[in-house]
This record gives sequence, C-alpha cells and structure tokens, in this order.
Amino acid sequence: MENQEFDKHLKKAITAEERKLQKAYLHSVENSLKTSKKKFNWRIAVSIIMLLGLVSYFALFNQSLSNDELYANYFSPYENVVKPIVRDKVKLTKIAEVFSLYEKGKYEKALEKFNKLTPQDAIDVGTLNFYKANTYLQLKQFEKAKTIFSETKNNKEWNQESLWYLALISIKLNDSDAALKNLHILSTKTFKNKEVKELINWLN
Amino acid sequence: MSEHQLILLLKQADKKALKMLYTKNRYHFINFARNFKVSENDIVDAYQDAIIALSEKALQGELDNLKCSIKTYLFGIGKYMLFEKARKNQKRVLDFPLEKEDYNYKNIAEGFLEETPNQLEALLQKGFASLGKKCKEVLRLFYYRGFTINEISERLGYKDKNVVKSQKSRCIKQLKEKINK
Repeated sequence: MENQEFDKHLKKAITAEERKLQKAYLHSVENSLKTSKKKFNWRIAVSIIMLLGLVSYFALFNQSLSNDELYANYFSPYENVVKPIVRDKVKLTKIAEVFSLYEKGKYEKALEKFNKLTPQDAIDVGTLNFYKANTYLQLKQFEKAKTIFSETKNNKEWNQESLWYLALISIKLNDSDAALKNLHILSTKTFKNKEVKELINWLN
Repeated sequence: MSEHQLILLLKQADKKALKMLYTKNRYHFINFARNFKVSENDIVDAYQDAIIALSEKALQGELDNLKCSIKTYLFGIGKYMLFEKARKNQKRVLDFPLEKEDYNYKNIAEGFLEETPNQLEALLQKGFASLGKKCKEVLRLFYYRGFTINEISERLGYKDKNVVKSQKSRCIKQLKEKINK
C-alpha cells in the first residue's frame, strides 16, 4: 500500500516535470515564431543582398570561398531550447540565469556560470557540455570547443548537432578532410541536411 | 502528412510533430480565443496547455481512433482551458451554444489543470530532475508514458527485463535518498 501511494506521488511529480519541459519547449517555439515574424523583412533583404553579392563575386573572380568565409556563412549559434528567458530577475534559477546570459550573447559571463553548474542543479551533463562548447565557439576558443563536442557527439541527444559544429570547426581550422568526414556521416541524417550537402559540394 | 500519421508521431513523443501541431493551429486558436476576453499571454498559455494535454492523450494511445479532427479535439480542450483563465480573472464569458461534443473536453481540461503537486511531489520532482539520464529515461517511460517493464526493456534494448527492474529500483532508491537529504 505504501508503495502504491509512493507510486502515485511519483507519477504526479514526473508528470509535472515533463509538463514543465514541454512548456519550456513550446515557449521556445513561440519565441522563434515571434522573432521570425519581426525579422522577416530584413532577413529576406539580407539574403537577397548576400545572394547578389555571391553571384557577382563568382562572376567577377570565379573563385571558391575561403574556409573562413564558409565558416562565417554557415555558422549560427545553437538556439537555447533549455530554459526560456525569464524577465523577472528575482525568479531566475541558476540554470535559467546562465541560459539567459547565453541567449543575450554574454558569453564570457555565461561560461563562468556554466563552469559552476553541476548535475545537482537539475541539468543533464550532456546538455550542459553541449552549450558550454557552443559558448567556447562564440568566444573563438575553437580547440576547447572541439574537445567538448568530441565528447558530446557520443551523446545520443546531441550527436548530430555536435558533428555539425565539429565540421564547422574543422573548416575554420583549415582541415577540410576532417570536416568532410563528419559531413559525410551527417549527410545520412536529418540535422541541417540541406546545409550539409551544400558544404560537401563546396569542399569537394 | 495525414492526421493519422501526425497522431502516430505524437504517440512516439516526436518533438517536430509537436512543433508542427503547435504552429499549424496557433493562428486560428488565437483568433478563436478572442471571444473569451482574456489577455494574449493567457491565450498563449491556455493554448500551450491544450497542446500538452492533447499530446499526453496521444502518448496514452487515446487518440488512436479519433472520432473527430485533431483541430476539433485541440480546440475542444482549449476552450475549457480558456474558460478557466476567464474564471480566474473573474471575467464574464460569452455564452457558447451547447454543442454536441465527441469527447468530455471539460474533464480533460480540468483533469490537466487540477494536478498541482503537493509538497512531497514537489520534492520528488526536483529530485527526479537531478537524476542521471538513464534513470530519468526508465522512470519517465514507466510513470509518464505508462510502459510496462517488458516494453521498457524492448525500447531500451535490454536483453533481460530483470535488468530494467533492478535499474528502476536503483533509481527509486537514489531518488528517495535525494529527498531525504
């Protein structure tokens, strides 16, 4: 009986936690819808300008892009899907705080806080490391980012994302062979499939 | 994608399907919700709750033979979520004509909303969130998804269901230690 009672409480507790995570995910979907609406027009404008730029660049010089340019064209920071930003400072939990810093682009401060987080702060180690690596990437500490992504690529949840960033790092570090190796693995999967194929074409 | 395919994906807890369901119906829901005179924040909150409630029903296999469209089901639950928001804000809600409903949406919405965790459950929730990935997976499948031990061992690729059983007991022991600290 005692066990049954405990089971009932645990079921409610886990349900509450799952709902909290689902809600956080839907918040991030909601935010991305709002941002994409706001940025819609200038995004198109920027894309057209970039496209025109690229076309004329190739028409004039018929050259290929340097690895630095490829990296710059394809790199975008991984969006925060863990904790939505909470505006009310008092209510910020440790995790929300660090992800809020990450989202605002305050990477040095975020890194400091990331280093202080432990599994006791209710965050999965793989997720923690994945975002830490992203922060290193933002701070242009490519070797450090590479070391961590090499670990997180073994994590089922972050495998494809980690391979993508490893490939970008290899491009940045002028190691096209290593980049191609990771891109070929990714080409059979779903994450950024279109971009992966484009990059393979560029590098070949 | 057909409605049936979408339900199957939701049943497998597919995040992309959830996102698709969310974005596809959001605009219509927000327009529909204007009748309830609740704030935009409350509308989005009610909509998200309705989406989660629907996804839980899909996980439990209750939508396998859905008698209406997904949208009707979603709006059915959402309507009562909005009623609840309006009631909390003490606003008078426009009377809706009583329609014949295929499901008891009122019960689904109220069942979803009433489950606020008590003190012990809040502790358990915090403890659960701090468990390792494997423990979370086993406990989530058992308690949230309603999988049997056999189904869990199949899902996680264990050869023997006893491995799952002992894993589950170890995790519960760990959890109890955490909350008794």
